Amino acid sequence: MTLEEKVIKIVMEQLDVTKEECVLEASFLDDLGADSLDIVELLMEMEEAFGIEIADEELEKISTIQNVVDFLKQKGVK
Amino acid sequence: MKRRVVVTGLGALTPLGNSVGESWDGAISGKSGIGPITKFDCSSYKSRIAGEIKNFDPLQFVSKQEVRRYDDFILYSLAAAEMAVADAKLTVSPEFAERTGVIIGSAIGGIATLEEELKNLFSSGPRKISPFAVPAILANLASGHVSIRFGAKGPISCAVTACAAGTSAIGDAYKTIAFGDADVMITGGVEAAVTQLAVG
Repeated sequence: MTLEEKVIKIVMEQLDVTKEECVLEASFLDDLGADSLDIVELLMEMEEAFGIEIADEELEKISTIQNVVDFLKQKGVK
Repeated sequence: MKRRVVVTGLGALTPLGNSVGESWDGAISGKSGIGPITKFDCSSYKSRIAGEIKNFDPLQFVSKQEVRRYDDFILYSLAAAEMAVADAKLTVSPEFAERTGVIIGSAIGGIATLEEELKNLFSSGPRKISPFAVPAILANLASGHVSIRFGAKGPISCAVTACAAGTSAIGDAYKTIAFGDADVMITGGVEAAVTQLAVG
């Protein structure tokens, strides 16, 4: 699975949304029906799945699926 | 001046059955809802029996996300409230919302979630506590989640009087209507305390 596919799989499970809804530009708040607690939980799940830590300041910059993928690549996740 | 109060709908989820009808039939036919504990490994416990809710599919009443996030006591209260509201054919319209309240009692609230989150905290530190820990644990959030589900914006409260919590809640709801602070109350009691700590 590519990194994008792994991220989308987690987003689908956490937010209970379909694959079709999970386009890379999808915004968690505006397109995927998430609220602020959902996003925190989603990113905790990403931390767990990819073995990284996301600091609070970095969390604030993440609003789309693409943001998550870019962030993970930046942290060296393949 | 005290007003008359009547019951207009019932819902139940008990160890005897997952509806009012099943629970009542079970009670009058002398069935026992007590059985071996299945919710956790109790092999080292002195007591290994409890009254568990059986064969309950929460997805009939709540979403997959809610099942993942919320303690059983909240899921049970949402299910029973759905049944009672359907039985009463109640619709809480926006004009009526502030005259409709919820008082659901619980002795201990989300103790299973509390145990789970304590394990996360002590093994991995505070960063690993779920952001939904508090909304899943607080005893008054059976009333909270039910009020959100039905749009009830009247008096919302919780009776925490141990094993009498359900009865206390019903009494409090009765008084709330009788003394004019609401016209409709969704009320009752809920518990999901067949857990390692509570049984221990």
